[in-house]
Amino acid sequence: MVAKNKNKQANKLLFYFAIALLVVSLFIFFVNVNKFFKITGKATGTGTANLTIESITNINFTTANINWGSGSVTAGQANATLDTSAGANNVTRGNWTGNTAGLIIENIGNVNVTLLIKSGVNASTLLGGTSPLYQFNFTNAEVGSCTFNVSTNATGTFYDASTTDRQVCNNFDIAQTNDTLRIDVRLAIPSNSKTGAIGDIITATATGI
Amino acid sequence: MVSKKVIVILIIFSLLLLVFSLMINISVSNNEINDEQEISNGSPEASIGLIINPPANSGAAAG
Repeated sequence: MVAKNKNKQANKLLFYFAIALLVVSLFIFFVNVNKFFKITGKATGTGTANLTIESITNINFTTANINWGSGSVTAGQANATLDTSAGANNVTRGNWTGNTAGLIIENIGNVNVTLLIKSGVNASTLLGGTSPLYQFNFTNAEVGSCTFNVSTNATGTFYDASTTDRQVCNNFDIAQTNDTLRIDVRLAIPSNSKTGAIGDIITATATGI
Repeated sequence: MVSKKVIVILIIFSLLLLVFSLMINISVSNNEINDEQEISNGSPEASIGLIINPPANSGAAAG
């Protein structure tokens, strides 16, 4: 009799526990379902759903740094050339660490843009000495990414770095496989240039079309 | 009194509901993370740098 009563009491407790668990589960379930529908949206019956997709102008240097390390102009030479577009001979008449990667910039927004590039300094400020060069060359890393501004860019031509904006692309595309531009950098370092650590920041500006 | 069978079914149902809620919660969290990634900004700046040492013979010439 006592055992039967104990069993009944245990059953009762277990039942209350099951009910409590059910209530908690239902509460958590409805909270999460509510969150889910808030994010995905829900429409019932007949109606019109309006939405606005914001234009996002966004560009990103996916290869954002060129570091040639430490080096000097070969003795007896007037200058050394560092040219990221020159393949195996990207460092001549000097012993800096080569770079053939250049800089890569990608349109990661959702609108086509015009693209302007400028440097922080020009050749004489960056390098000093006699007849220094600091130049950029722009090429499509993915076919058709940039419709070049022909008045400021010709394929295969290096242009002097300028502290004022140069419009490189009239149309820098957003298509996933056609949205990447390569910037090659060429330096001619005179034997009587500045010495020590030098560097510059290159800034790209995009404006939605 | 309610039978043990019913209590067991209730508990199993509640646990399944909890697991399902957890799955929904993970899905919602992933959506929120993706939303944040989509609006993250790129970097419009790049840099170049090098160290220029004097040409090897310049020291000898000076000396």
